[in-house]
Amino acid sequence: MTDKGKSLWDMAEESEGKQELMDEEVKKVYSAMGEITSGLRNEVGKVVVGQQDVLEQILIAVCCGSHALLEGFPGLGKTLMVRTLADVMDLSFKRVQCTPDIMPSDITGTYIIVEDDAGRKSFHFERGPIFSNVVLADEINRATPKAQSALLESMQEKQVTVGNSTYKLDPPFFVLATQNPIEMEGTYPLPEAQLDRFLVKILVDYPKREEEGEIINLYASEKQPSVQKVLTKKHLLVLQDLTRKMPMSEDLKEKVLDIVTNTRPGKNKFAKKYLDYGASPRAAIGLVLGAKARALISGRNYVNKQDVKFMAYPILRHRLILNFESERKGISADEVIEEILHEVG
Amino acid sequence: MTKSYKKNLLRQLGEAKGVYWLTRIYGWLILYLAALLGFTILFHLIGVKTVYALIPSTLYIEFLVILQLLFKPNIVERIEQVEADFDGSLRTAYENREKKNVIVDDLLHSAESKLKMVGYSKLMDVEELTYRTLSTVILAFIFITLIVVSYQDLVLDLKIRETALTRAGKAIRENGERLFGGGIWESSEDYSAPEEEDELGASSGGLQPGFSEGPIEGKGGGVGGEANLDIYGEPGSANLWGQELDMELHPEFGGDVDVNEEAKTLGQIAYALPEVEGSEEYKDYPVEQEELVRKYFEKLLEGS
Repeated sequence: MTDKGKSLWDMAEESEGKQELMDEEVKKVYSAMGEITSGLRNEVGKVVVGQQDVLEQILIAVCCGSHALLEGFPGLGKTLMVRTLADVMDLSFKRVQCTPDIMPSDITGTYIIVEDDAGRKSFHFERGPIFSNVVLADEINRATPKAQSALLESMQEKQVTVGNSTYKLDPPFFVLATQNPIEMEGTYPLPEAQLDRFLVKILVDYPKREEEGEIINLYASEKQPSVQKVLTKKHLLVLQDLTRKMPMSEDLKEKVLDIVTNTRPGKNKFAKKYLDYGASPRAAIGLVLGAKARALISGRNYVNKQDVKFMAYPILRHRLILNFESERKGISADEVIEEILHEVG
Repeated sequence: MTKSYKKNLLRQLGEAKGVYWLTRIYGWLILYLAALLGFTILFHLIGVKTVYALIPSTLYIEFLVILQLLFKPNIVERIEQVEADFDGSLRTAYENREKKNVIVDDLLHSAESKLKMVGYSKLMDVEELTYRTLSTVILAFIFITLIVVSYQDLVLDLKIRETALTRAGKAIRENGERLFGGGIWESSEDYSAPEEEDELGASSGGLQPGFSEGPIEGKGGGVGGEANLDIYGEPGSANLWGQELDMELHPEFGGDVDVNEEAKTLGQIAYALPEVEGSEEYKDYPVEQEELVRKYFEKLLEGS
């Protein structure tokens, strides 16, 4: 009982002359990259004021076909941004409000008994919120480890197994989760294995004063802002394809390896002093992909050093396990990354 | 389309490579010339055959070339070093040239267009070349000066020939003697007239009465100085054939100059030189020093 979800992309592949069609579509999307990214920024900007870096990093995660964890205080617009992004990209969007009593079946779905017209009863799989393109797992650290684990398989394998059946998730699929750093009471910090599945951890900061003024004007007025769709699902898949096609020089790949291996305590003095564990090879893959995606949405046809440096922070910060010494001295993961980047050059 | 972009890019890189290597070879040649001149000057000064300068300069340049070839930056790196606008795009395009996709095509096209705008003259390390060329010119100037002027002649001139100053002094002395009589220059060294000498002798008194009487009889006389009780004065030195000789003038010996054994020997040698037959002496000298030896004796004769 396997449900093979077919995207428009899959259908395009299956159609006659699929390679030509793909190539044409890829060229079309690539030549319109500038309009696409500016359109996305403008449309999201109608609803979310400021937070351009946060938007950029979410877009990067989307282009990489991966997941993002947003951390910030309540009321900073994390959920609003994710919802708006789903709207402008013409993607199906579901929200899961994580609470301590949430069950895995609340996320993945469950079998229910359905009675047909003839009165025969059978089990029917009722899909959970995970079966959508964008899943917002709000306050993910409030969910129990059991519920959090339900997300693991879907995040990594992009499939859901319930009972003996496995269901493929319809691409594009990504989980955008949020967590609150100040309310630690009654929370279950995400395990390292699950954190590693998020490509980026994005820190959402307070808006600037003038931005906050704009927010007040926008949301305290009669008319509520609305957005238009600027990117189809198909085009988003092309973007993901283009991200992987982005060329990168060998010396930058070496630099990525230098950065990642230097986060491991055995390789670097600073890491040895302040870290218990460094980043995994998945981080290296993520850093290369993230740098490629940043180059793409920046409108460039090559990856440069700044892409790698910029992406090192969101990709590595949740993968570094700080030790007691760093906590005692108040050294953050970002400071360790900065030092490593400085050393690597 | 991709093929043509790739082809054009590779062609341009090939051209740039040619220019780059030409400038490097030029730089090495200049450096070789500078090293050769440097070693030639050094060998000339220390008296080693200058032809041997070829050995260290060749070894030096070979070592340098091997070192630079081992750590050579490739042409793509070099272009990106001098043209920061590439920002890694040329390297990326070059490394990914075999891939076929829309982004690589675009990258090859943009890299090729940008490369057209790069002047190959930028590939030269102007500062290094200027420094090397200037060094070569300066060393060449020094070398030519040494060859033309011949520092050995200059040294001989200084040692043997009378300088303009000593000639002037000699002329004044001869004219003075002719006009005012002999002894004027010697007495002037006492900084006193004969009357003052008597007075000085009288007031101070001499140690040997009757030997140099002053106006007061039996009290002795002569010129005396309180600073040095030794009547023979400070031991002086004389220069004889380049050797410093310690001398004391003893009045009791009638004022004869006493020349010690070393000086006598030197004197004998010196006086013996003109008697030596040229052909016998020259044959013992190295051929390349023949000119120098000849000049030496000529200047000796001029000096005497």
